[in-house]
Amino acid sequence: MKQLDVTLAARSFVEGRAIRTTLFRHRRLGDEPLMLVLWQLGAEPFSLAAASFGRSPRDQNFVVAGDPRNRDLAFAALLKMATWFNGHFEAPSADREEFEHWGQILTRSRSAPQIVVANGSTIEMLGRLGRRLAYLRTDGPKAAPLELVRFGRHLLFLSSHARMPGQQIVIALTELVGSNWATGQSPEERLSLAALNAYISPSKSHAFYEAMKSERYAIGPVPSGEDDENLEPLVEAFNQRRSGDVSAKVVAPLLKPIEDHYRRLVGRTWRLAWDCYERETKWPEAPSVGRRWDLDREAYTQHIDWTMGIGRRRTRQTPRQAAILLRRLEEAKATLEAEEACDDALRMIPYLLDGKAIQGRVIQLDLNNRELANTRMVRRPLVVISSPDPCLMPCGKELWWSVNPDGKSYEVTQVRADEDGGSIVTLKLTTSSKSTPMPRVGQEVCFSIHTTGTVRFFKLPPTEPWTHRPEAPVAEPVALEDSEIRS
Amino acid sequence: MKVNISPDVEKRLAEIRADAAPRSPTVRVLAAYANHADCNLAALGFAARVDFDKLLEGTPYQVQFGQSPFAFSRGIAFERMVSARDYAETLNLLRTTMGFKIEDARTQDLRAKYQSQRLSMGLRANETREIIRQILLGRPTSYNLVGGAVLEANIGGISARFEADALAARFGGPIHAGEVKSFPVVDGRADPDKLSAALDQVSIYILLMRRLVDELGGDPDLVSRIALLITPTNVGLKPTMSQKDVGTRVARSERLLASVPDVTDIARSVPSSLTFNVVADQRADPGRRADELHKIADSIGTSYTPTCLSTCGNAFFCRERAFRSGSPCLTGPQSSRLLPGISSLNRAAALSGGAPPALNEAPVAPLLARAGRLYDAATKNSRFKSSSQKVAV
Repeated sequence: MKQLDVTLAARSFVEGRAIRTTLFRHRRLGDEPLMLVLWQLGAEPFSLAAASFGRSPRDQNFVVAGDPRNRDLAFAALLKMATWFNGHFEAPSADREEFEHWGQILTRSRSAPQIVVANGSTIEMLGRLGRRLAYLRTDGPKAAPLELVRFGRHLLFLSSHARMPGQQIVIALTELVGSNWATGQSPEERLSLAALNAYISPSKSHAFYEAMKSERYAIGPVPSGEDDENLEPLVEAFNQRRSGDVSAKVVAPLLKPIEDHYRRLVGRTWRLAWDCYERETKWPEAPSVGRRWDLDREAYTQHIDWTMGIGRRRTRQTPRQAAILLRRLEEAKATLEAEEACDDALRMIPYLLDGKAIQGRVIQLDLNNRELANTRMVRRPLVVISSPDPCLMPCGKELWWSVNPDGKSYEVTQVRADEDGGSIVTLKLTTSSKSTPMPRVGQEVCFSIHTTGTVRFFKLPPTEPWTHRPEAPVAEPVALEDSEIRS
Repeated sequence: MKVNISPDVEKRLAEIRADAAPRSPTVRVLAAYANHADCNLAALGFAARVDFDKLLEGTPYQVQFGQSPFAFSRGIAFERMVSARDYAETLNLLRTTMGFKIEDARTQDLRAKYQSQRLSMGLRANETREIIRQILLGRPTSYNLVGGAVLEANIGGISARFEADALAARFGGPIHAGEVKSFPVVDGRADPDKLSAALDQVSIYILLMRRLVDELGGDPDLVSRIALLITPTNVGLKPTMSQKDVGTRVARSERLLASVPDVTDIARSVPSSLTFNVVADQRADPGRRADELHKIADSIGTSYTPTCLSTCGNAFFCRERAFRSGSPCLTGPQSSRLLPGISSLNRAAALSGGAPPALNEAPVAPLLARAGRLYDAATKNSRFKSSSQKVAV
């Protein structure tokens, strides 16, 4: 939490509703996302008790398992969802375009599917379901349908890709909405999509009271104890009446009471999730979203190509894989922060407050300034800006102009305090190239530490150092289905 | 429960508790209390053994900490599985994971031996003590594996008993404490939050076991710092055993137990008329019950933080008090730290709009004013400077 967050939280508290923290939407939101609402049974982490899925608020498909502790019943429900999901998820991969990557011509899908869920817990559940399904045996006495295995592999990809900062294939609404709105709530309370939403669109009373009412309802996938207390007799009756039979013919007519129970719970989250999603789509998209979407399309294409070929992935990384992934995550986070700050004046404010950026009006421009570089004089244009704020940056600090963050850097060469408590800052462009864009006198500008142009190379030693060698080789993934949830 | 405090103090605590649902200090209660040990209301409830989770039932402030019956039955089923057939599965894990020679293992399930819950705790505590004494004496007939041990501790002057569905195991070497949990381990990993809570729990058992060994004249270091955790692996309930050094957690548990205020001091420090009588009366008007709790809270003080929401039954009540006063703690501890000297969120909002600061607000006021000015300037020409109508708080 930064000073701006506290300031806006205080204002939100006084105004009685949420305050927008961005001028743009920093994620692509497609017209027909794949909305998933999941519900698990009690503390059974691998059980899908009920689910709703669809591509529009009215296109609500709904499945319940009955008692998902039974493998056959759980898989029957999952198979219905898998059949629907695989079709929609894999379809975009058929339409490809070529692109150049470090001199190589590669292909990528022209579009990618987008999965929307209510919260981060649902993404974790997708990962658990993926882990359960992706490594199932498709031969032998308890052969699983191939459709389920593919579904599991897609879910594993989604839960893994969700960790990438700025990715847009999996959208958790609590994160999307939470990053765009400040509220007078604690971080713990903001994890409830219902409570967060109540702050954004309260009725006449203060949002605190609306949120208090809303947060009592479970959003899924973890059920409330009270809801499961109501469910327990229904599941017991269901199990008694089916007497161990798992055939669809016997099970289907017995599911109605359990369906009614879940339809109410899942339906509430379904409407809430679509309301939140549609509200966010109305905000203008930030300019750098397209670049990140390109990366998403590439990641999606690679996943599809791998899944349709070999398909298996490690569930525990080798030290080398872990180091590479960590580096990629750090780079993606740095680039995301830079892009969002340069796209959006509100996102730049925390850096202005932290002394990592300076903004003001250009009062002087010296395009012909020259200085000695090694043996000859070279052109080094100077930009002098007048900022209403004090500048605490040291001379020599490297900054980038926010409208050209992937261009050449500027160097702080002089900082003077003015009479009004502001500062006069002189910046020197570190190239003599005349093609580099320059600000005009009188223009409002912002220079910050953020750059999107740095290419970072990462070289690992050919073998892991002894400090990073595991005692035993990293285990190959195995099927989890060595026993029933209840034996 | 045995109480080693004076009858006067016990009488006063009973008056404070009145007809409120009582609660014994279990490991879970202790862990919950540790999260808000600086709250006077929580300390009073802990000392008077008031079950705050039930105190406000029937009012708008009632919390829902109910556990899913499916989660409960999963835990029971798993515990039964590891203790079935004289702990056959557990012994097998001790053999394969720890390398123990278990051919002549002697096991004792104290929970099964003493079925009646009400009377069993004291009897099990005595028997646990005797078993540990036999182990220390090195008797060949002593048990190697004990399930459902009960350990005693003095918590702020109250003698409390902690029921460990844990196992004390000794096969020639040190004594180990363990815990049975039904959350799964997949690919060698478990849910970090659940794992952490389980290890905290075992660390308290290890601490109490060390104290017991010391009391019996043995070497406390005979109790291993390695916690044993038995959990299901993968999708099913097939058990697996994990080991983890919890030395630092044991030290933290020791500090926690030492920091619990003495119940005698608490009983004597509160006003003589203070009682939860009306607050706990479910036949009384909810508004009156809340008013009475407000009076108690006003007289002794509370210390709300958002973490109370997951551990304290009075959390909704205290949160509304924080809301009414506009306390910065409403938005989290980080927010409070960033607003030193600022009495309320209303005041922080006013300072962000350029209101002149008081002397104690001077360090933060310029930052708030600058943040507010930058925000207003960035949204000046925007259609969404504020999405709101002003609402009176």
